[in-house]
Amino acid sequence: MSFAYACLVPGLPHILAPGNHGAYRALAAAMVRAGDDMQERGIRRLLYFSTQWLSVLGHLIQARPHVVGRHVDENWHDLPEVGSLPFDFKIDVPLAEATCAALNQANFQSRLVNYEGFPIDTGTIVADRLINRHGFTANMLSCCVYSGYDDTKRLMRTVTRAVAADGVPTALVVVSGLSGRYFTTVIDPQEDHISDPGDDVWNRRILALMEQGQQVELEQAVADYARQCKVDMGFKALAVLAGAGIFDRPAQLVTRAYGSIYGTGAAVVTVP
Amino acid sequence: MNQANPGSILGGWLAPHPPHLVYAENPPQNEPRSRGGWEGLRWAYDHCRARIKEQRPDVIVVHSPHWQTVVGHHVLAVKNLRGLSVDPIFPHLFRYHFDLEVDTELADAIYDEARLAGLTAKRMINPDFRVDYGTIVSLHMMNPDWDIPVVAISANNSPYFYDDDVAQDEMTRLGEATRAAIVRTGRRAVLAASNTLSHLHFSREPNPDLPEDMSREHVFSQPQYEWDMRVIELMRAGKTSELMAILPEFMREAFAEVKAGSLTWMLSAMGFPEIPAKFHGYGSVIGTGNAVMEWDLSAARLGGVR
Repeated sequence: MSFAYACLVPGLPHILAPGNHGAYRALAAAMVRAGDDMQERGIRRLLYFSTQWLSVLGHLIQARPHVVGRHVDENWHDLPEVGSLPFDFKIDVPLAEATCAALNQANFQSRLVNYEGFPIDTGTIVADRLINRHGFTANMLSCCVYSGYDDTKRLMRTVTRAVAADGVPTALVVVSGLSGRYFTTVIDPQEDHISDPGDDVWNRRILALMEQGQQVELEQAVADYARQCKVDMGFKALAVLAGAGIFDRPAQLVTRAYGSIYGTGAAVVTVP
Repeated sequence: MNQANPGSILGGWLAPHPPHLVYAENPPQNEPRSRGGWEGLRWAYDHCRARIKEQRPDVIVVHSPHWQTVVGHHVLAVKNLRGLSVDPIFPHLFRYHFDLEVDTELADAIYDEARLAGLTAKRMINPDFRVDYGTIVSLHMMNPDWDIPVVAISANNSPYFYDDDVAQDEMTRLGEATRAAIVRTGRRAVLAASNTLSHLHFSREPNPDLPEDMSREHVFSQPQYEWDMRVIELMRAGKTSELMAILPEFMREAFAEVKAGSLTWMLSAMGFPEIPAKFHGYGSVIGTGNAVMEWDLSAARLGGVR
């Protein structure tokens, strides 16, 4: 694996609210701890792949040197204290350009984005606020809706080579949920739980397989899992992690936290 | 209810929202510049613009698939919203400086009526909110002067959680709630269903150096085109109940964006009128099928169809 660290984290803003407890608090604490781990291991740069930054005509790569603003989620604009999310990212532009060039050379249509007001997705902002308390530069790659599992793996192999080329210690942060069955009515956050018990069983099975490094079994199960549990973007997150080579060394993944966010499954899984 | 002057719906428009249309028009609000393109669709909107100038509605109410919500139906309820809306999918085409006046009294009434109808609903009152490009494109193309207040309603994504029948039932009830709110507040309203028809599209930009290269624009497939024509023909013939009956199949076969519910919401608000819709134009945008169609209820009430 050419990334010096990798993790899978959730990207819903509920976990940011001050005064949280239960799963929200545990998930947020695990993300903070992952950021501290990165700092200790000498990480200097993050690459975010968020399933909430969607593209349809190939992939987009953030290339604005300083991305700053305030974001309001289209769903969660009314969350107390976190309805508006300020953000401030420093981008490694040479890496963005190198990644874009490598992807285009490998026949993945890719485009740099460098626009004032470009809407950074909620997932990346949530992850960055919890993980990035150490001033890492933070690059971003979009999630192409039409990129299938194998294409995404191949894409990530290209991205991983581009990241490795300059030798800067980099962590891959994949922002994605697990089962995606939201509650569709207003709930009391204190009563949040995985909305379907079957989803909970599936989530735990997938996390166990990840911890065991069972890539073949995971890849055999992913289509069923995605369909039955309405998994966030068909669990493209697994393809991203696999393409980045996290299964090259078996049994490296650790689940730091697992729980529900508004009925969906969420976990913090790290690859130390 | 405003007893002296109950409101009414003057008409409804199928008002597709590809950002390419605004890009091609080069309005001052949009940063990118183009050489034109997609004129067949853009000029179709000229009829809408002229009709709105004639009717002078109090408000335009739009339902947009690109404001997607999972917990209920959200209604824009901030009196003035301004900012820069950059399309996350097509940022090279759409970076629009918007300045909306929202009819908050009607927005609140829609929220109230939706809840009375048993729907989950929310008011969007966060002043930092970035308005989605679907809402902006449809409203800009209908009324580029922005001199009429608006109300925007989100597309609850229940179609993607339930089966299509349940989802469209929600949109039907939302349409009825919208009509009740319009009547109660005494508004003369025009509705906009911000929907593309067939929605399979190219997975690569045909000419990244010239997005408006019309030599590279075409329908995604013949079956999609034929589905669009079948649907448009039913609209033109005023066969609304027949149209509603085939919508689920249309959604499945042509990945039709009407699945997001905007068309069902609008037709429901208008009482599923069995009157011919007027066809103003059809065109593809990166392969998707788009039509500008008008249901003129005010003319129908006067005993004729324009």
